[in-house]
Amino acid sequence: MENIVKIQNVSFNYKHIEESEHVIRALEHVNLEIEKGSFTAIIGVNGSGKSTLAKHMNGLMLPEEGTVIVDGMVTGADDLIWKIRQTVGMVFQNPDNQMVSAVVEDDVAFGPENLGVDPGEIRERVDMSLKAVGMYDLRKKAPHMLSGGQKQRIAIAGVVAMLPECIVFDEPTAMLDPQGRREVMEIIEKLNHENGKTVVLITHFMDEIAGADRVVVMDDGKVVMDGKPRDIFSKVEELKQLGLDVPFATELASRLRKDGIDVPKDVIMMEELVDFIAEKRLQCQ
Amino acid sequence: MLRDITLGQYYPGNSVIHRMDPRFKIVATLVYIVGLFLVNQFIGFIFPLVCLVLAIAVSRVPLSFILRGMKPVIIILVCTFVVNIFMIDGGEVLVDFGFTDITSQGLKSAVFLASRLIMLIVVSSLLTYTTKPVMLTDGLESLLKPLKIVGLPAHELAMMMSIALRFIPTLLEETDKIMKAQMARGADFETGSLMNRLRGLVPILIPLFISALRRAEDLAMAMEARCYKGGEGRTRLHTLKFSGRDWVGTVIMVAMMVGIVITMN
Amino acid sequence: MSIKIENLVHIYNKGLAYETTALDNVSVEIGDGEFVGIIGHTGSGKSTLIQHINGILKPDSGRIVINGTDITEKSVKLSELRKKVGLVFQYPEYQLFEESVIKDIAFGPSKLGLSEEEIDLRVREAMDLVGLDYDEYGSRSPFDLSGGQKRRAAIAGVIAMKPEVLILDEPTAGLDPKAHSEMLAMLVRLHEKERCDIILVSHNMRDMAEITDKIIVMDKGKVALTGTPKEVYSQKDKLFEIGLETPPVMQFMKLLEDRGIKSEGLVMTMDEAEEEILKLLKKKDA
Repeated sequence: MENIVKIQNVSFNYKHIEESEHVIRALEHVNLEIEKGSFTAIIGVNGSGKSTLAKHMNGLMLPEEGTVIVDGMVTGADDLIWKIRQTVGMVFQNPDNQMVSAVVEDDVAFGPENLGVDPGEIRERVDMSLKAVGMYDLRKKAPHMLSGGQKQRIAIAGVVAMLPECIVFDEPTAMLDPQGRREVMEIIEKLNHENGKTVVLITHFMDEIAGADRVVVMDDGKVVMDGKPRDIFSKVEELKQLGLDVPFATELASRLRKDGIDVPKDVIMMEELVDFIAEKRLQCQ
Repeated sequence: MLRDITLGQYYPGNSVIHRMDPRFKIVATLVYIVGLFLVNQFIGFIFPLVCLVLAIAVSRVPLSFILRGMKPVIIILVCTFVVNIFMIDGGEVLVDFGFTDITSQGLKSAVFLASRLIMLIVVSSLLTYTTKPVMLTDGLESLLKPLKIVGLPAHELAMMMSIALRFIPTLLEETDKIMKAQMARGADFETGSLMNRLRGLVPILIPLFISALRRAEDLAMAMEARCYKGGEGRTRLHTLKFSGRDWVGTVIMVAMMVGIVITMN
Repeated sequence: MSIKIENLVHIYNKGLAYETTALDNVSVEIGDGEFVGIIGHTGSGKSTLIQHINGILKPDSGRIVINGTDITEKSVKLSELRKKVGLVFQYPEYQLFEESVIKDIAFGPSKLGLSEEEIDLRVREAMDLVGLDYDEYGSRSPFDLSGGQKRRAAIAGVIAMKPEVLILDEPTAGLDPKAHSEMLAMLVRLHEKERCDIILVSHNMRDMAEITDKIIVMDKGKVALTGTPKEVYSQKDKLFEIGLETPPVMQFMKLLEDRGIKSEGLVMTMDEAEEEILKLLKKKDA
């Protein structure tokens, strides 16, 4: 399969203003390729470089070292930057701070307007995107009257209306309540499964990524683990060392393993652990 | 608390006024204000008053909503009223306090100025109540476009206004929250000397300022991510159209101005 | 301290077209030294309720009796009340404003008319309780701290007022897993050390099951359920009706039960689940 984003040996430093000696390395020789149509989750504690990495994927930040190539385009090239940002859309953490307009549908139209799309087509795209996130009925509302989950769905619609190939979600559910989180996750999964969008999801909620194709773990500006959720979560101890959680079933399984029960290492779903226990009991009978 | 402020907000609706061309509404509001200042005797207020009542009735914005919007400016109103009532002399003395007095001329002038001010505020808030901020700024941008030749950044101004309007409710809510949080830490905004009270604002203003900066930074990033690159090559979801209702409005405005000019002395 | 809330009613925008009843006849009791959790959807009235307890909001009707004093009475001084009841809002780091961590934490205590020494002592204690080193972080600007540290500094600012009741509105929102568990550990430590009542508003069912003595479930401005975590979580149907979930442990035990493996009693925490499963497997071994 083709790769939509290629991050090659990228480094980036944040310079601390007060003490100029003190340079914080946000990214250190990162290599990562995102396959078209895939669902990649990026996890890591705050300050591990996840967000910085995400912002490299659509040229919001440019690497100090190395290259980022989006759909064949190098992010440093001035004339391609708008095409790159149209190809890789981005949804941010704070739903309030990414809404430009005081009316829902106008906010969704903002991206297509910037791209110079014809008014008639903007209308179509806005309606299509709002329907995709289930917010069409609220298209005339003011964003500040909506719940956090609804606002975040509008932010997603605003990106979808630009017809991107890939959407990067930078902790989209961090500020939401469980209901809002569910709403947003459903849409993210739908965009990946039904609409074939490539999804990169940065999150702290381990239960959100059990369904991802791939999990990338970041620590201190480096990619420290990369693999299928099952393989990553089987390393419970390493993850805990990095300050990360594991899904519920994985944690319980790991505790049981310590108690001497031979639960397989790669359990991530509750159902799997239930199956195991049920079978174990049958064997004993 | 603060979030109750309705001034400058949009009141969703679909009335004829709501659907008018924003360019017309902006120009009409300006003309109306000029008209208010041309009026120089009470009888002249009839025309703008009729227009205003008509506009409010047609717009279906509830009167209670408009009145609530007046709340924050009530102090200014009272101040002007008081200043006028005492400062202007002439006519017969109605109440004599010794050191100062209220004269019939003073009262008349105070009522006159207050009426003008109230109508001015109501008409400008009606503009924002019935016009989506986006339309308002679109209208402004379109009206100011000719001034681009003299270097006026019409699009940037319009964009700034539209963002300011979008964030007013958010920042009001935030102010409310910060005030409560500092109150919970023992801050007191209601008692003490003026100096103390001003100093008491620091714990609100600094967090508010920092938060506004953070939001601005986030927003700039989000706008860039959505390919915002200024006004060049930008299209619009809503295109502005001057239609029949705007012509009707124009006729009414002209009639109002004629009425005002005739009643001038 | 004991808190008794009786028939509390709060209406927003009273008399206007969009008036909403945020609290509808709410009555709850919180005993001395309890660790209480409040659960409910956004807009269920949780935030409105907690803001009444330290007098930021005034009820339209009803009483709030704290240690025998009805705080809704006009004669009650709010400054006295706020000394007793500390309230930490959501994302408290956004209210930091001083040039140093020490000064920011001292803001509350300095309003209490304490001596310089006493204020300094309280700042040190509070920083110690939230796990921020006085010498290392005290003189730094609060804006230079990491997200989790900022939040702890902000909470220290309330703790330094030595409240007898500490109310926290979603103190773990937006934190990463590490900062999240540190925050919970800090609350538990605080509760043990200071012996104050803690009222914690959270959406996290798992945290609630693990650390609270009592849970209050709010729904549409009313108290829907109240009791020990076990009592509340055993009313599964009622919770689902409101649209809330049970802790993951219980969801897991339910799946086991569906397969005909029944556990004894209500299994709610991770420790209990581990023990129960071991028992289930051992019993068959024997």
